[in-house]
Amino acid sequence: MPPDCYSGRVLWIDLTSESTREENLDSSIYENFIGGKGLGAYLLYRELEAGLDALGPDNTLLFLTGPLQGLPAPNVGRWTLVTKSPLTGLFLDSHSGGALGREIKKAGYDAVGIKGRSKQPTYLIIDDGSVAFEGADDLWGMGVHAATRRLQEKNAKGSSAYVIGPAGENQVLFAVGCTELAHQTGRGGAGAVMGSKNLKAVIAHGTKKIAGVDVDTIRKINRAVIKGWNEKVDNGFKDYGTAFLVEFANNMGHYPTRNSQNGYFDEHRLIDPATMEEKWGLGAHQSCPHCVMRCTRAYKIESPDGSGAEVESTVEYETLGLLGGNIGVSDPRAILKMNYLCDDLGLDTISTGGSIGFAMEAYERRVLSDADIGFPLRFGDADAAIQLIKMIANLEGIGKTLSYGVRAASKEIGKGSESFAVHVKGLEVPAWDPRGRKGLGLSYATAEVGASHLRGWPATVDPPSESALDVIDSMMTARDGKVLTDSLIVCHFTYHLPLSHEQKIALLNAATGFDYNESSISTFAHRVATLTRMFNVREGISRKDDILPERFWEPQKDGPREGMSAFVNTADFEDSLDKFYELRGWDRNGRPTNDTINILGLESIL
Amino acid sequence: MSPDFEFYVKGKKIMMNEFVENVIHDVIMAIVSHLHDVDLKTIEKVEIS
Repeated sequence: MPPDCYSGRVLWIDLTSESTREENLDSSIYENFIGGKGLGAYLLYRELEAGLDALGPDNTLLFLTGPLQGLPAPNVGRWTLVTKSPLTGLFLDSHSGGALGREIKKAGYDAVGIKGRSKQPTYLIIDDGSVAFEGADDLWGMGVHAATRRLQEKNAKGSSAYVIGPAGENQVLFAVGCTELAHQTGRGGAGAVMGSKNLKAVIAHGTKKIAGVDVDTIRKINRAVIKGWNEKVDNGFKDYGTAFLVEFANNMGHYPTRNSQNGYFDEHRLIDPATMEEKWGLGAHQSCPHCVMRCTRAYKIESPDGSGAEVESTVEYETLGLLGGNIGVSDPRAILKMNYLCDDLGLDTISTGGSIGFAMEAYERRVLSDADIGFPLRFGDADAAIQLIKMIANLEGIGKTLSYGVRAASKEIGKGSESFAVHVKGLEVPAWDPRGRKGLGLSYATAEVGASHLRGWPATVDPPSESALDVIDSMMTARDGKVLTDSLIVCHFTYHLPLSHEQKIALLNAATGFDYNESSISTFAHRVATLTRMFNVREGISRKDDILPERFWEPQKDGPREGMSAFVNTADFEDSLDKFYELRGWDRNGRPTNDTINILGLESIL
Repeated sequence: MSPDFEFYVKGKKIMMNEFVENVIHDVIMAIVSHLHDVDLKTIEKVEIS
């Protein structure tokens, strides 16, 4: 029997036949894969055949919890979505705030797997072991905010809702879903997979009590990290949430500027978190449940629908980067407006900003004309960007081309535009230009989901002005830490508390009664990373795909990293990649060796 | 306590999500529920000055 902090069961839902079944999981699966990302990697690899259409009925959406959801542990008001990404065609794990994980577990499950395709718009209610298939005709076409509010009114108090917007319904390849108005499964297009299944929303509610083996230890760690947090003063993150990172990133040459042509934005001071907070700040009430950090800041803006109504925009640093400097916009009001619009339509603000930045550069290089777009599209033109956001969500004109992401859009547009399509494996690059830090580019090049900023960074703030070989070990260690974080489904920002790696292992052991230590956690992380790699290898990924976009081989033009590219030269990048493969036990082509597969106990799965 | 009670700290209104609202509601009620001669259901405002 699995430990009591787990339910021990997966709920499988087939939308085509409107049927359900339950699967009991063996305790060894929990010991080997823990939960969240790890458990999702196991289930997705097992369930999917290579090459299937990510937007076809056979793709599977996995809604996952972990061992800590529902227990008094710090920062676990989160959940994980795993699926095959329609944007990259590869493994996707995306992690969202909100109570959905806790409610799924209280309803009696560790994971919910959804397959098939409904005949008409549908939403699901999972409530204490029962599943209802509800018609969603009246919700289809509705924005995320209105649809969520309507579902909250209709459903049990305390239930949690995950909802897509029109972009997901229209299968924009970087569409998101949103939990409780402010927390998105941000990257890779899970919202499009929902839309392809005619699934508008998933609602969960449960009443089961969750038990842990040693809850006193969990409470003790919780108290210790909260004490540490409360004692912090003069802390940018505490004062402003992630918005404080604009200046920090800009000073390091990380801040994306005009389609990542540079990592330094000369107008960055206009995007000032103190001014935003003072003029428009509403508070941190949209933050994740059970969290003391309260980093989700809400700002008051006029609704972009022109009604004059006031709405709340919950912007994060990534959006301040991609819909700010990356499209040459420095007016925070405009960024807040674009952020609200993307959230309501259900678009990933990183990929949206990356796509608009790409289109703006194409326009300024005369690769795209007024006739192609329908209006001028210069860097800095927020009104044009707002128009383009709506066109992307509604698949109108050039918006339809951009809805496939910059990789596909540049192939369709041609005329050399591939050279400034800024992505890795099809995923647009986040707001951390890798030319700002030694070795960061390797994290983007090797992350299984494509260019993600949440897959472990090298332990250095040095610029990439010398070989990165000495920081690859630390990047690997950080990545392994992220695998644990995403399998426990603890917030990535817990380093601010701080919640240490050792405390995370202690929380895991206290919840489960397992006997993990640093060494066996490293093996666990290695196992999950190798399994997700094998998923991608099965889809055709190899060394040729572990690359950086051309843009990051161009030296930055000015600012603190002037003259620097992501690595000192291509030989250093290739040497770093060799070292990464060697540390993982993969061959020179990036394929896990049979020895590695056997040592990690994956031979029966692969 | 009214389900849409307002919470003020030193004159500043604190916005809350449903989770925090429930926590504060439960804590306040735990403190004041012995006041049988007060109509607790009609509390609309909690203020810390």
